[in-house]
Amino acid sequence: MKQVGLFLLCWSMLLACNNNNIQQRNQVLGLRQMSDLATAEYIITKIIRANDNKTWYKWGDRKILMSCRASVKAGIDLSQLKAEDFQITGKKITLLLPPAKLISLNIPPENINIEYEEVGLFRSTFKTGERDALAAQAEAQIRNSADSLGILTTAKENAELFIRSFLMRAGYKEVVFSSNSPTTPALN
Amino acid sequence: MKKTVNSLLLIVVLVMLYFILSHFGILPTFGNPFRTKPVTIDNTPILIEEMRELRNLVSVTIYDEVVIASEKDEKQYIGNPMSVLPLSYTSKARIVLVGRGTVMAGVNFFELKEADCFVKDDSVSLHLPPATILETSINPSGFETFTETGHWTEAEVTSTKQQAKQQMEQRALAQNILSKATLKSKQVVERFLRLAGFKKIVITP
Repeated sequence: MKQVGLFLLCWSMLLACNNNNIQQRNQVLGLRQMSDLATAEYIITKIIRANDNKTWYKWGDRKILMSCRASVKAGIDLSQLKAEDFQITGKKITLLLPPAKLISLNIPPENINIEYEEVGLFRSTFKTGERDALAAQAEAQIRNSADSLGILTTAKENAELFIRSFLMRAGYKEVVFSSNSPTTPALN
Repeated sequence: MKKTVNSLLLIVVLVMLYFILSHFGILPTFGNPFRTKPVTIDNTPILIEEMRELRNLVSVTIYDEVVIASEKDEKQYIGNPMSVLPLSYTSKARIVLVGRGTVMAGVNFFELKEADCFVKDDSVSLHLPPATILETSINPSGFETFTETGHWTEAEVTSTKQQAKQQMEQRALAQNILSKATLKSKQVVERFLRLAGFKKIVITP
C-alpha cells in the first residue's frame, strides 16, 4: 500500500513537471472606444540591415538583411469636432476639421522576410527574438518618420473629399472647409 | 608613517572624486567589458509602394495579449548523419511566443450605398453598413520569445505568429467587439449629423 502511494506521488510529480499547457486569460487587456475616421493608407517597404560585429570577445561576424512591408493608416478624430466648427447658412456648410493624425502602423509577420544571412563559423544564426528585436527597430524608424511621408496631408485631403460627398448626399449644396491647424503625427 | 597615511588619503580622495565625476557624466565609466553590444540596424530609406483611399470609421480598439506555442519532433544525430549507420534520436522542439497587439473594428463607408441615405428637410435616415474587423496587428515590438528550443525556420515562426493574430481576433470577437463597434459607430455618426444641422436622425445598423 505504501509502495502504491509512493508510486502515485512520483507519477503525479512527473506529470506536474511535464505540464506545459497554456492557460489564456478570459479578459482582454483593454477596450477603447474611438471616433477615428481613417482616410489614407500607405503601403511602404523597408530594408532592415544589421551587422553583429561590435562585441569584441565574439569571434566572427553575423550579418542579416531582411525586408519588411508595412501599412500606415492616417485620418482624423471625429470626436474633436465641436459645435463651433460648423457654420450653416441655408444649404451652405462651413467646417473646420481637426488635424490629421496617424491611426495605425501594421507590420504583419508574413511581410517580414529574411533576404540574406551570413554567419561566421563560431557564431549561431539569428534566433526569433533577435530577428524580432531588429524588426522592432525598423518599426520605430517607420513610426518616427511616418509623418514625413506626406500621409497626413493625404489623409486630410481624403477626409475632406469623403465628408464633402457625404454632406452633399445629405442635402447640402455647398461644403466649404476652413483652414485648420497643422497636422499632428500622434500615433495611438 | 605620516607620508604613507597621506598617500592613502590622497588615493581615497582621488577614487571618490572619480566616482563623483563619472556619476555626473564628466568622466567616462569603464563599465562591464564583457557586456554584449546591442545590434543596431542601419537607417535605410522607406519606400512608398502604394497609396490607398480609406473610408473606415474605427470605433473600437481592443488591446490584447496572447500566448501561442508550437511543438514539433526534431531528429537529432549523434556524430555524422551521412555515415552508414547514423545514430539518431527524436527530441521535441518548442517555441512559445507572447504577442501583444490590437484589434480594430468599425464601419467601412465604402459600403454605404445611395439608397442607404434618405434626407427630407432637417430629417435624415441612414442605414449604416455592418461593423467589421478593420485591422488585427501584432507588430515585431509586440512579440516576445518566451522559449525557443530546437531549430525553427522562418516560415514556421511566421505561421506561429499568424496563429497568435488569429487567436487575438477570436478573443476580440468573443468580447462582442462587432456589436460594440456598431453601437459606437452609430453614436459617432449621429453626433456628426446633429452637429451638421439635422434635427431628426434615424440610424439603423
